[in-house]
Amino acid sequence: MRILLFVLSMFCALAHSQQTAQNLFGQYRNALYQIKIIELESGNKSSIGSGFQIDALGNLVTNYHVVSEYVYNPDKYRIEYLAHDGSEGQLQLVDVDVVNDLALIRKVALSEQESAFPIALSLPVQGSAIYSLGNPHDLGMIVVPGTFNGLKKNSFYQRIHFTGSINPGMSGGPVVNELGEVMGVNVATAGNQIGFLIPLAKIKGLLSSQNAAVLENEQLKPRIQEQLLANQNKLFSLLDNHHWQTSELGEAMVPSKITDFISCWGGSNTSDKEALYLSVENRCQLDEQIYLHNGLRTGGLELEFEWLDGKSLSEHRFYNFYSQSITGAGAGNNATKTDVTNFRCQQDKVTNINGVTNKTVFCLRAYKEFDQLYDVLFVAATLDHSQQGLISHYTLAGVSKESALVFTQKFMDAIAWQ
Amino acid sequence: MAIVLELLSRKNIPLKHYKFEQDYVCVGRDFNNDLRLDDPYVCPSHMLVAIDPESGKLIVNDCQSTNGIKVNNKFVRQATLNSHDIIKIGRTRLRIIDTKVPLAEAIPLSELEENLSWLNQSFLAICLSLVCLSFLLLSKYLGSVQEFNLIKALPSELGQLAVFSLWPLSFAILAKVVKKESHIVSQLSLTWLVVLLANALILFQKIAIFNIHPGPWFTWIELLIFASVIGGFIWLSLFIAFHQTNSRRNIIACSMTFIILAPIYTLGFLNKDEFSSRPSYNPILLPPTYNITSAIQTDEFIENANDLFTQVNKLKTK
Repeated sequence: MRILLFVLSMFCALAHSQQTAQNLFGQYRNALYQIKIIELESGNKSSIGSGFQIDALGNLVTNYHVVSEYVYNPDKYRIEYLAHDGSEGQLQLVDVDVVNDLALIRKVALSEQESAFPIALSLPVQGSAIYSLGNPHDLGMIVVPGTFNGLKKNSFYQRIHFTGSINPGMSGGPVVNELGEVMGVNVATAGNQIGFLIPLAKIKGLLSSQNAAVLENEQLKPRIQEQLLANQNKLFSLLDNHHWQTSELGEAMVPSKITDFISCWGGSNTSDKEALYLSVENRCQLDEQIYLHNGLRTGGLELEFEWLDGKSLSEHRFYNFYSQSITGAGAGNNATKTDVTNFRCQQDKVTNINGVTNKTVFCLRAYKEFDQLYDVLFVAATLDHSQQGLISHYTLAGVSKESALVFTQKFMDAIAWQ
Repeated sequence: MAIVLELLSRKNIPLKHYKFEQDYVCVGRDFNNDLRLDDPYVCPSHMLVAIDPESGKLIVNDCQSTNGIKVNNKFVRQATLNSHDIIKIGRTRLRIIDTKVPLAEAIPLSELEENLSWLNQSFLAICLSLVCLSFLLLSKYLGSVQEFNLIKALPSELGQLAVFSLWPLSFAILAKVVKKESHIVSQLSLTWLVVLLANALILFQKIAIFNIHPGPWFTWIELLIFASVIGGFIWLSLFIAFHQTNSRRNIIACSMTFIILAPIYTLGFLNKDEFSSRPSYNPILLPPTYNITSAIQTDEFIENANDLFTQVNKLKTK
């Protein structure tokens, strides 16, 4: 009997969920659009995404990465929408929020009847059914039911954890609760049945520009720069004001969990019985990066410590291997020749406040489009032991000079011997 | 007056010389001739070289030979000869030597040649090659992080040694071709010495870079030292192999050095600052024993980093 009841309730739940999905699609399909980036030269679309209307003024919300091609080359692309009924029209870029991957676009010509999604007042309770709408693979609009699993824990760039499949092309589509109110925007998929959404608060932030004038082409990059600078200021003031916990790594003390939103992983080669040396690693990183365009990500941070103990190696042999271990460090983010300059490095032997002497390499490259932003790469290797050493390494993407220097000093002085 | 004839090889290198204390010389294949040539293209009685009693000059006469006489590549039946004219009969080349023309002064014996004679000891060459081999094995051992197996490492290092010995071998062969003495032992000793010197310099370079972190000027010093080692090596190899004047040897050594270095450095300069997501820095780490200079404090390092920001900002405008 119980089983029967359970099956029945399951069936009801399923039926209910289907019902809501159908209703939602019917109710709001007019406010759901496919966003197309049209390349002017060929006159054809170069990328697509989804977008949804939020007011009667013709304002649409989508992902920044959907319109990024236009942002970088406003002379070579234009933005168009394709509505559910097959009507098309041109769109203008009103504002962007690169840090949260959002963009506000506006219809050039309004029709008589504009329908819009209402915005939810708050996030639903964990476990509620939510629906992701979008246009994957250019196949037409679809609804994907899923579960709201709260905000992603320990993340600097806040995301909603969504259980359900978000597919490419659904980017920029809305996520609605059972009442059809928008409470998130599709942004990324992290594999099977796990997706990430941009939460409500960030959308509300963008809505302040609802009545703003359309951004001129030359205003786009300064706007992005301003947002990137503010974001890195926020990130690094958090990091610098935080007390860095240290933990043992070999004979050294290294900063381990420097803050909650940086996740750390460890590993060693102890299982390799033939290895003549011991290597213990600790790496931490910020999980998300900011997408600027196809070849450029920024806003990332990674820290890495490796303790090497060449117990069975002679001094010279160990140092040969040690040198190889610090060879060929590379940038942590993707960037192309047009985005950044080449790296320039400064090298020296440095003794920190704890008396640890390191060979220290500090490398920089500047963003060509954005003043005051740099990528930093740091590698250091201790020189105090003849058969042991600690390699410390980090990369920062898109930071200001001040943040970089303060962080570097704090990092260098954080290392100590036990 | 005597008649002097020189038998030449096909490339005009003297093979043998004949001096006749008489006024005429009969040349042919017949055994009665003054100069008998064993050449099937030469007639039994081919030509007559004689001193003209009136002018005192040498003349040559064709004795109705089948293949004729060529003087300086022209067929003649009779001709007056000058010193250093080349006569070709059949397939044999002869040169007329005028004994009255004075020869050049002797090249003074070089002191360097005496001083380099110690290189020409087989024992030394063998010792040096063993030192080189052990050096190569040692650097292989120091560069490995796995269990080191001497037997496995030996073939590749011997191969490297064989590649190095191509240089002295080619000089020895060239020397043999042109003047019969190869000086292979000296050449080998010289090569091993240069290999050892080069490795010692590389070690010094590492120590210098590790301790003083030099700027771009260091590349020029490296180039200078590298060029002088290569130039000196070529010069000495030439000196041992061939007898030539100093200026000629200098020119050859300089141009060979240039030919070797130019492609390496042009490629380096052409690739300079090609965009890469990996910065170029010097990863050399040396054990505490080599750590000579003192380290700076963190504050100073951060202070210096300010310049680096200005430096990369300048790159943006390029």
